[in-house]
Amino acid sequence: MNYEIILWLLVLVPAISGLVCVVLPSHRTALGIMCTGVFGASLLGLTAVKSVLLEGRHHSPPPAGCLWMLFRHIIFSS
Amino acid sequence: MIIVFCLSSIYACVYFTEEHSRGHLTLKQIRLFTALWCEALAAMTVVLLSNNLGIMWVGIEATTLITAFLICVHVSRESLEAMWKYILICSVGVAFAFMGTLLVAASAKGADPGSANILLWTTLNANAARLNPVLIKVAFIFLLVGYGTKAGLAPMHSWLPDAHSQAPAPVSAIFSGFMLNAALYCIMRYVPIVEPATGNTSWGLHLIAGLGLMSIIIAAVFILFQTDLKRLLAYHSIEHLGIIALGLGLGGLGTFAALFHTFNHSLCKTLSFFAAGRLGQIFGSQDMEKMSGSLQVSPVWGTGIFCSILALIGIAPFALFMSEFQLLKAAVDNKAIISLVLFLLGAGVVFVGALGHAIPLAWGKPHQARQRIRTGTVEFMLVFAPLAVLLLLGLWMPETVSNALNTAADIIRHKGGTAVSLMEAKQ
Repeated sequence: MNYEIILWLLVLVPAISGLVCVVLPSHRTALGIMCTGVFGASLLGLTAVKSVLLEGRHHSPPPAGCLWMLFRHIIFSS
Repeated sequence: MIIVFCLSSIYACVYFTEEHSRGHLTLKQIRLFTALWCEALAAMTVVLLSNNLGIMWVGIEATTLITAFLICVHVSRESLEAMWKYILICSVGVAFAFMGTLLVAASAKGADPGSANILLWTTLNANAARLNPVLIKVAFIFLLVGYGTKAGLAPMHSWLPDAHSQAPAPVSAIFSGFMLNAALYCIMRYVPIVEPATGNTSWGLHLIAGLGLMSIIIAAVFILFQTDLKRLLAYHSIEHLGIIALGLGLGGLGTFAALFHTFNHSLCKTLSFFAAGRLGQIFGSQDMEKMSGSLQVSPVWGTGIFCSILALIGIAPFALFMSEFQLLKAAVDNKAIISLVLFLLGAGVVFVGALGHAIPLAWGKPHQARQRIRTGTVEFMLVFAPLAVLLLLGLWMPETVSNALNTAADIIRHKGGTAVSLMEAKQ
């Protein structure tokens, strides 16, 4: 899978799992989805770590890039 | 991070199911916890992955705001006070870090790496020698105070014992096992930029080592007088973050030792907070006097807390002993005699103080007669899997782990710059 997509997912999977948890009907389901989000992100994290350690990649994830554009606009344009 | 979050999530299921069945938490509170837990993971991932130092700051600020609400999942006067203390102190710290980040951007103006890339770590790292040395020095002081506050380094540590003692045990575990290290990681990322910018005089490293030593000494004194188990573990966190900072400050083998110690401490502290939380549920208190004889009442969790305290005070053959031994070797190699003496003094006081708490906690006479608690396979694995890893790493380090730590240490020491160039150099 594309490395940058993995980094996107690494941030987005737990973030979306967290939003889903708010509306779940029982504590077991909420804890289950929380674990799914964490384990899903961990699997992606392992893939990313493999890319960094074995292939020497070093990129900023796209979500952070978008945030940076907003941050730079707010801070430096004023 | 992966290991700490996975273990803590499994433990959170055990812990919160028990809390729900006892009626201590409502469904709404558990929902809130699970949502914030996942968002905290997302924010911490941004901190670790971002190449942009501004976004790294945004990630740290986001973790402060998200994890603040995790402290007061159990709503009480004390937990609200701890939350406010955490928000106020860490927000001031993060504001300092923001100033530092802006000053780093200002110091890069002369180097002219291009306005769009001005805060990219890779760009700053490549142009480090051309940054304005005065501005970068001022920036680093702001950054050290700012991120140091979040990392719980003394004397900015006052939020940490309250937050750790009031937060639910899984939250304390990720605070100590991951969040403090993430803040220290932010400082680590600035080291390869600051050192060449200040003429490789070790100016920044001396500051880090100084804060590290102060943390070790202050924590050692407070460890002696603790009565609350989670507060004791919180002061251990301050001590170990101090040890990591000292290793970083020593440079050379010390950087490797600091990174190895970061992993070992995360794993060990996760286990110790698991055990403290579960024993707290069993005994209905975090007071160590009331928790005495924990090995009789719950052999699995009693073993967990006793062995983790032994590992935390650096007893062989646990991996923390190995990383502290490497740190001592680095201090001897660098002829840093004052650092060596202060570290040994602090470690000695912690050894005596923590062992004085741990022995009655494990083998003391129980405060009142209790039935022996049975534990399931999951709880058994949560205790013995981290202990097995700590023992294994203390006796033998796999080559993959050693290579990964060496590569990371070389980046911090600014030997070749980025991971990419280091890989190319190795090939």
